[in-house]
Amino acid sequence: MKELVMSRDAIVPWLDDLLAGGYEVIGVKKHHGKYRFEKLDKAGEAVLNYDVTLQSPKKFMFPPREDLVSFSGTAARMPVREDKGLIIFGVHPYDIHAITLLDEVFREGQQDPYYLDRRERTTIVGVDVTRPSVNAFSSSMGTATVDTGFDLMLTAIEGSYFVRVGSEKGSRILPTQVVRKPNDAQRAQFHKEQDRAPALFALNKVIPSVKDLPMLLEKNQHHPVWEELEKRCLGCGSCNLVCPTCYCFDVKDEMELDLSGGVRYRTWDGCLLKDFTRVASGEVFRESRAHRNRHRFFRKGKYMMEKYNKPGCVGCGRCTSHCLAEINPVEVFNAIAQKEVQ
Amino acid sequence: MQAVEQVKSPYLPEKATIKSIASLTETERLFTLTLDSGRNLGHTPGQFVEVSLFGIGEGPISISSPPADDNSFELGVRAAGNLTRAMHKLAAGDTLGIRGPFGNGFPVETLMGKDLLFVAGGIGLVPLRSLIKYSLTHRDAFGRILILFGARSPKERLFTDELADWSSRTDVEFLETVDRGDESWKGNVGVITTLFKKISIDPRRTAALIVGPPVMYKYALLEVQAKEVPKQNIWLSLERRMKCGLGKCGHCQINNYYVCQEGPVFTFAQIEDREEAL
Repeated sequence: MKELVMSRDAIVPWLDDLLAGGYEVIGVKKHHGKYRFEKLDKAGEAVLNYDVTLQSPKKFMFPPREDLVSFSGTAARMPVREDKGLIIFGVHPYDIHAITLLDEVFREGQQDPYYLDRRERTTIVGVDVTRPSVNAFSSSMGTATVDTGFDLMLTAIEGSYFVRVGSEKGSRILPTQVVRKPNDAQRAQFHKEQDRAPALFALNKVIPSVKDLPMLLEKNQHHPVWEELEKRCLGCGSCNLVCPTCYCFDVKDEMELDLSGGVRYRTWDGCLLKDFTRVASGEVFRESRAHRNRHRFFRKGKYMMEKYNKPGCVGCGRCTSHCLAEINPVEVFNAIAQKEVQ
Repeated sequence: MQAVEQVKSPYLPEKATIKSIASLTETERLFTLTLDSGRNLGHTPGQFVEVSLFGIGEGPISISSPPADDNSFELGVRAAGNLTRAMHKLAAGDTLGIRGPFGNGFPVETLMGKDLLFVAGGIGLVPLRSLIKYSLTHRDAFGRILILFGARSPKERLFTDELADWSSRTDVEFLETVDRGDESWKGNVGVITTLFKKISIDPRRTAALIVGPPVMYKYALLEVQAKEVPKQNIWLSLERRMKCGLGKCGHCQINNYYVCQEGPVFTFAQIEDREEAL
């Protein structure tokens, strides 16, 4: 992998050039003390040393609402796609791991042209974490750092950013005038930063190792923790909405006011919501919040891992930050590990 | 930056025309359809399609007919939700959208040579009928054919002409019951499990094929297991909410199974230890 360095002062002029060059650049902006990914109007708005964003950048490839089919009478077609490219600037490693997982989900079996089209048009510029969210536990999930899945990856070293070039797409947007080859000291510092990155998350640690999670969960389908979650969880689905690896969706139709036509669109859905499994007869297949929570944690810790050989949870901690009942995956996994039931 | 080539959407339905509609009961109708493209649907018994009416929505519906040479297929539909109620307002000549067929149907090859024990509860007859009719068309390929059918009341009996036909055939053993009879009903009264004591089977060569409402499975499974049919020779078709039919949207999941892909037909051995399944 090609490795470069650039001065920290070069970031803003670089973003200025990209914006002036007609790219749509998404960056992290600060609002009322919280951070979110959104379109940059000015280079100076971009923040790189944030803790975590409210939503993951998933929303740019898998939008909360996306038209699937537009229809008029009985004639239907796929909506016309935009062909503009997007640069997402400042994505943390755990979110890159989540995007890599979603790439597999939407590529596997029946390919999803909507996601894959947006993904193809997206260039990801990552940045390593310098101050994690208090609820994050990425080191436990093996997602504190990243080696693939980015087009460019920035790591803060003294006075500079160490830049790894992950793809041709990344190479194309490099500020060629200002990047240099790293010297030995800079390389050493980069490796030191990578090595210490997991320790930044170490205060919030899942005790069982990621590879043991599927078997641990399998053995503990009837652990008392699920009944505790029945009492605590409000069934609001906020965890689903902020999760970077949740991709379940509902499909709905919407008519024009004159009833001449309309669109069929998909919209994010959540397995913690009671209606998620309701069929027309009224039957609900996961009635209790205990079962809905178990499904969610099994999906993250077992089903996705078995199918894709990657954890379905990347340890970003967003679900905990947004949960009114302060349900924390770290506590759930640790409760099971500490008191196994057969 | 290049435009990405437009790919065909898996969400675009094919147009299908309703050839005829037959009333089965007060709440169920049978739609006979053909795809406007002339394509044969190419389904196997037990598969389903996503039916759509633009502006109303889309939903999974079991295919009720066996694979046919004339490119037509049948959907038995209960008016239960928004989509199915709107379907009941359609007439012959109207069009609707079809995606599919989807899922795993009954394993026809595996079933050949076996005695078939069909257990159909109410509207469960609709998906099972595709395999029942298939087995009757290829009668010599199978051993005994036993059909147990239970309806809540005489007026909720589906496909009454076919029930009469199965009842009169010498190569089919047909038993039915209703939960509650009425003045005109002369047949068995009681839940479907009461029919099991009237039959004897050879469990070594019997395949049990069970489709009914969720509550029926528990009791019907006890009965077929009491008759010592092995778990891997018991097939069931499970209903779930489905939106995409492509193994993505998540609604149909039973543990790690996507019912729209790995199901809707499962063996009891596959789902026995999955407690959300039944």
